[in-house]
Amino acid sequence: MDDQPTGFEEFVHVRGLALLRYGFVLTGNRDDGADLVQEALLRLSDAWPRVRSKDDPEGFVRVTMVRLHISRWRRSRRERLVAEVPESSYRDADIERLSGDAGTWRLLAALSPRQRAVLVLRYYEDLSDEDIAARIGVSRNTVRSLAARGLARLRAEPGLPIPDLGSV
Amino acid sequence: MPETMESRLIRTLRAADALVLPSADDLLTGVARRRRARTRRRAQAVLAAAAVIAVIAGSTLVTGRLRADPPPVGDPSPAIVTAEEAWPGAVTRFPTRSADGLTYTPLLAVDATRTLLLTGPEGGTATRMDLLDTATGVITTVTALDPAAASPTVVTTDGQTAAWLSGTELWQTPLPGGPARRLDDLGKGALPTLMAIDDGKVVWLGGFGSVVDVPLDGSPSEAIFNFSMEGTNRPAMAVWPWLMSTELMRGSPGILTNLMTANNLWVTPADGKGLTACGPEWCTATRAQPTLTPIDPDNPYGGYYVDTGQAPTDLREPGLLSMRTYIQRVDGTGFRESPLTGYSWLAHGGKLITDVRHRFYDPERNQVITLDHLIEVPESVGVGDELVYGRSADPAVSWLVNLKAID
Repeated sequence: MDDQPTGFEEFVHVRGLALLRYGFVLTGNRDDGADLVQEALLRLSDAWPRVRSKDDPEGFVRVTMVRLHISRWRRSRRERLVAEVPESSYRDADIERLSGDAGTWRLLAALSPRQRAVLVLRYYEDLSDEDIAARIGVSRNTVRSLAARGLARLRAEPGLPIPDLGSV
Repeated sequence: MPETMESRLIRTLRAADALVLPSADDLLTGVARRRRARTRRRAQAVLAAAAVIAVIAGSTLVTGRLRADPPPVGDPSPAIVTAEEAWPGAVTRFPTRSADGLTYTPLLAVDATRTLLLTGPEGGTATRMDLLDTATGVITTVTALDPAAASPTVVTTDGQTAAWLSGTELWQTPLPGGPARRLDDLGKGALPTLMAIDDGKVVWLGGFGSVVDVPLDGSPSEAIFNFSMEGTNRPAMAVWPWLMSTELMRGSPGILTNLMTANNLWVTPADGKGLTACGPEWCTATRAQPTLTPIDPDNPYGGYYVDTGQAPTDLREPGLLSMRTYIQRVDGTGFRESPLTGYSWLAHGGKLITDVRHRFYDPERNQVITLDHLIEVPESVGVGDELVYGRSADPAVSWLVNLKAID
């Protein structure tokens, strides 16, 4: 790396994979996810002394990633509202092989980035609504509303018969 | 027991997670590539600035040396031209009154040929909105206005729909014609001063760090979210949708953030003193005379007192006239004093600067565009969104300059 403070590379080596996975789950696309991680890491490297002193560089990166992802929603939402997930993202067989549901993964691509981000933070990162609200900078009620709309949209899609047993 | 949507979601997200295989080395390479690209962009900006300065100074890049804090430089005297000369097709004349005796007041330039008008009794509250087609001279009624609602103030359009603020209420109407629809009552919170229509929603910068959307179809507001600008406590917006970080007002380098795309522009105050307003191309810096004291030190738009040692007097307008305005590009190049009068501000998306005498300065062309010959009744001159208007000596005829027709 160019002029990076000691410790930054180590952080990337240790946590890079987890961040790439987070980026992929957040965006639904490997390239977009990697792009998000790189941009967040670039910002982390700029702020490394300050962030490291607070002992939470990963928190910095994850907050940066989700906020970057949401703040880009206006310019990218049209590309996201597609029926077909880009080929580079995954193959249905791969996700099924890992006990995932390819249909659900495809339907996630139809959600707005904010709805998707809230569902990812709640069901992938296992954060409370209060923590999600703090991370993306909205109220807890907005988090609940986004989660409810996101789940409702997933349930409403034809071809995915899911009984409405849960609540938000 | 049937599987819930939530549990299916959890296992799917976990499966997706496991699809990504280790490649942390690629990450470091990618970050390094981004850093080099960023450095290259900044270097190119500096080189471009150096080239401009070298040309202006008659020197060469080899012998020239950039100054970190360039002093105000004089620009060759700008050409002074009339609006018709500079912007053929932007000046239009139209009847002052409608056939039913109401007065037209231009409100908003919709596009190069259409202007939204407020129509109502002379000196009274507007009763309807009309649309002037400057290509044909035809005026059609857009909608009737609720007589109980306040006159429209902040207004915006996407070419199909107009949205406006009446008091604290947000309204919209289709431009082809139809009933006006009240969308929301925004209450006494932070009311918009600049707003836009984007993808079926009215969007504006709300209170601290928030962006507010209200759908045009009247459905409840969904997209209320907060944003953050690093190092910024009170971002200001002079040109939609560019947020200006407060560092810039203090004279330190800072950022302009595009609210709609999250793109950032790095801005460098040329002389290390505070900037007043920035668009994506040009910034203004206003310098008060030493005898003037700002009413609110944090608000460059708040007017000035004359500090005479006596009780302060609000001399906002004379204060504006006695001020000096400097301009610069966002990268700090092109720094010069504005040839306009006193306090000047950005117009037309930040591409122009204008003043209290309704003159415009085009810094790219180094051209002052005057409306002096049009201003035959000074007290009738008004400013709308992307337009200036007034009445002619003939009271039956008015004129307008449509800035959306100048590009």
